[in-house]
Amino acid sequence: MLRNPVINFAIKLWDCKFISARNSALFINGSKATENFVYVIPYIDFQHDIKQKELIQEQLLKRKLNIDLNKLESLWSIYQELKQRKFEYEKKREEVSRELGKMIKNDPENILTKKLKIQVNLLKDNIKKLKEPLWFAEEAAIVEILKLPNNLHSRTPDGENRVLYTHLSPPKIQKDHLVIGKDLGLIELIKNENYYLKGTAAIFELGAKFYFNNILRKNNFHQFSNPDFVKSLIVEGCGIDHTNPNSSFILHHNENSKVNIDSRLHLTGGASLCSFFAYYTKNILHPKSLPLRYFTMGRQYTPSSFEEDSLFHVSQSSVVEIFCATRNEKDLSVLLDDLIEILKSAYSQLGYHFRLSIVTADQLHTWESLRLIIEMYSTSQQTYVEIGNISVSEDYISKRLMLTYVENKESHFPHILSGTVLNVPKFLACVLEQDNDFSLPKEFTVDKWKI
Amino acid sequence: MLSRKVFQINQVKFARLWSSIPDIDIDYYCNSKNIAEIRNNINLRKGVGNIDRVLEVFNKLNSFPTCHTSHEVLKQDLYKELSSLPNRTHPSVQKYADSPHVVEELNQKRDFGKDTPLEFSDITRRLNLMRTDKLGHTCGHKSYYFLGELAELEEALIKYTITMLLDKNFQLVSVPDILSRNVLESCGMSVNSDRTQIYSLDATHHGPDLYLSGTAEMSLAGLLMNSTHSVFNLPLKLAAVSRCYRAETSNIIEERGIYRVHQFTKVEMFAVTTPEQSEDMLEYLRKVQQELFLPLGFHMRVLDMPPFELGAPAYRKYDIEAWMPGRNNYGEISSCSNCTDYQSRRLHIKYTDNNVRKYVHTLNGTACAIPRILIALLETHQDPKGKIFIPQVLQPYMNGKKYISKNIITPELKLMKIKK
Repeated sequence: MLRNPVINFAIKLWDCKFISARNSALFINGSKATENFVYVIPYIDFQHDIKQKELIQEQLLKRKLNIDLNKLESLWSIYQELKQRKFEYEKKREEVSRELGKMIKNDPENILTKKLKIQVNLLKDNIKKLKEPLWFAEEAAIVEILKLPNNLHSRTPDGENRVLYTHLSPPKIQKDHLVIGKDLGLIELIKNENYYLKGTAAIFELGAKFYFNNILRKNNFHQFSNPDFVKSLIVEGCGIDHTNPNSSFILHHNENSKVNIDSRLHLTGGASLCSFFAYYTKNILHPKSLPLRYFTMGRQYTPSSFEEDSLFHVSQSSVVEIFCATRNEKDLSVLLDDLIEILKSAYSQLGYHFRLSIVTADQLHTWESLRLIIEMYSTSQQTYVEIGNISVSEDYISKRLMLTYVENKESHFPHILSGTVLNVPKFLACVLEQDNDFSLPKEFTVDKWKI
Repeated sequence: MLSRKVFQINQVKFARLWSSIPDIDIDYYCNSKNIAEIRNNINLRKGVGNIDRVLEVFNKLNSFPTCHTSHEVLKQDLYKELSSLPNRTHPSVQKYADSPHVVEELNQKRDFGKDTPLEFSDITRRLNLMRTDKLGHTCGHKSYYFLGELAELEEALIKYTITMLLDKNFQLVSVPDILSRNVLESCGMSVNSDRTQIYSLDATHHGPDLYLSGTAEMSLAGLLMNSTHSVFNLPLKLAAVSRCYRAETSNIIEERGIYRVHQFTKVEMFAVTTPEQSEDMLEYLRKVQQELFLPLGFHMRVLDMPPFELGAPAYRKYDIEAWMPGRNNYGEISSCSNCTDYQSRRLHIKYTDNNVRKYVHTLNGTACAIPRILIALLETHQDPKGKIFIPQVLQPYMNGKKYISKNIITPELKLMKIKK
């Protein structure tokens, strides 16, 4: 039998319906599952993960995240205990029903038969009563567990960013890309949400994307052209709070149906991790098709939370985005090193100072286990600016959005590497702030567009 | 942070009020001598607009002194009525009744012999070049992904188009895709109801005035809003590559597949001219379109559109329709319009000539709308053996490749079933 206080606690929680406070587009159970179509069920193995509680605790500290693991554990144990109890009731009911079946055949009028009948009904009643508290306990636990961050990669440094590579030296003359952009008639920036690139700057935008596309194609990357909208489920699946308007643009609900906070359309842009995962959610891959090495050029939209208006903070960017899936950590590590070499060579050829660094845990998004950044020095900001990146998310998002491959009749989760290898507005801003006067890099000129 | 948000919203509201009063030609529209002509024009175009109501409000307005409280209300009312009137119609077009006039036919229809040409969606399914299946739950209705060489072909088309436009001294502009309401309305889009063609951002989360651009024409018009140009700088020719967002849906069988989609990439041309230059500029834009499309090898016809097919801002409009053999039908691949001073009066775009300020004329035209061009290309150049010929002019932009063949790199789609 179960300890009653736990159950009582759970039932109480359920009774006061503070259930409405939760929001998950990714995990939907119970009565909500009949209202909302459940497209995917995330894979969760908390029992296994929590065995390394100390490690998780330590990593939470490094990420400077405030998540109470004890509370998580207790939510989980309430859920497990209720589940266990339901299981026991069901087992018992089966036993009693079997016995009752025999008795009814042989001796329907026996007092024991009647007793068994009452017992079965009681058990049925108990199972029924347990149904909703169990849903609630499950939801309470899993919604919180889904907020846990990814593991940290062994190469993610402590203390400060680890610089892997530096090319040339930073510009010395202080310049402001907006002033230069205005003087040369290249940039019309009204605010972070609204800007134009004109003439050579617009050619720069296209030329830069075409240059990187070409390099990626030569390195056996396969081109995609993606849609710009994704549903809330994908945003949350990719580890982003889908209800937070500072994280993604939420579209006005155009339909006649009721607005559901967990089923909105988000404008992320096609050149984003979300858009690639909208393709690969619930996919079953053949192991032979791995590794996937994809790229796309396109838009990326992110709400700007900066007061200062500049190309560093704009909400619409033209970018080149990559998406890779490998069988395991080892293959991913090889691919990461391969990509580092590709980026080194691609950026070096342009003749600007840049460096590649791996960032510390506290700068990571929850879904990342490692992020490598491409940085250029901005003389207006007097600091390095991230103009591109590569993120390792291992199997964190694959598990949430059920991207699998089957080998030897067993399902595995591919490891994911993704990133914005070029963010044009940030890159252009840094190029305008170089010591030399601005000119279109020869690699980006129109005659180079033919390959 | 908070104070800045409030400030921004005020600014937006202010800007909207300020430039939402269009400077419509009252001398023409409110002159009772012109009423028959205006009424006739509205009827021809089968559009909205009520000239009787305009005159009624106008006369009422004049019966009140300027200082009267009703004056301001009536003035707003008058502008609302005036704004809904369509542009005038080119005299030659007025004669077309209900059918377009075929200006020119270009390229022959390809003879497929005894083979039946396949439709775009069948070709792309066989060659694994596109996914449209089962995307409703992850990225919304009517979404599509181009894969492999089809995505490369999209890039090649952009490169080809922009290269030619730069050669012709168009100035390239990179535009924002999120715009405020007054820019859209000034271009002749109606933004009022929920059943609009326009997507917008959630007002409670992102502020009340952010809409997704349906075409770069709107963004370019927004750039030029409240500007004055020297006559020596005209005509001004601009081009932009942008994403276009359209909320309209269609259940018409002819518009299946990617014929009508919610999002696509488009290269757009936009021109600013003096009133004297605009008719020639429209012919020029049409020639540029023909020059761009002709080497792509599909059959097409150039149409001078009849009055009822003109959107409110257009004075004259040419459409080009390409023959799509798989669909066995013509499909519109481009249009170009002369909007005369319809947009410039709403957006306050002027030019100075000998110290006189006048309204410019604006024109716009499609240089390359990716999905439709891809349909025409693939359906025309398909080979019964299952590959697609790439037109010669595009080959240099595709690493010299002559054919698109089956994509064997992107795995065929296999989705997990939910176990309950």
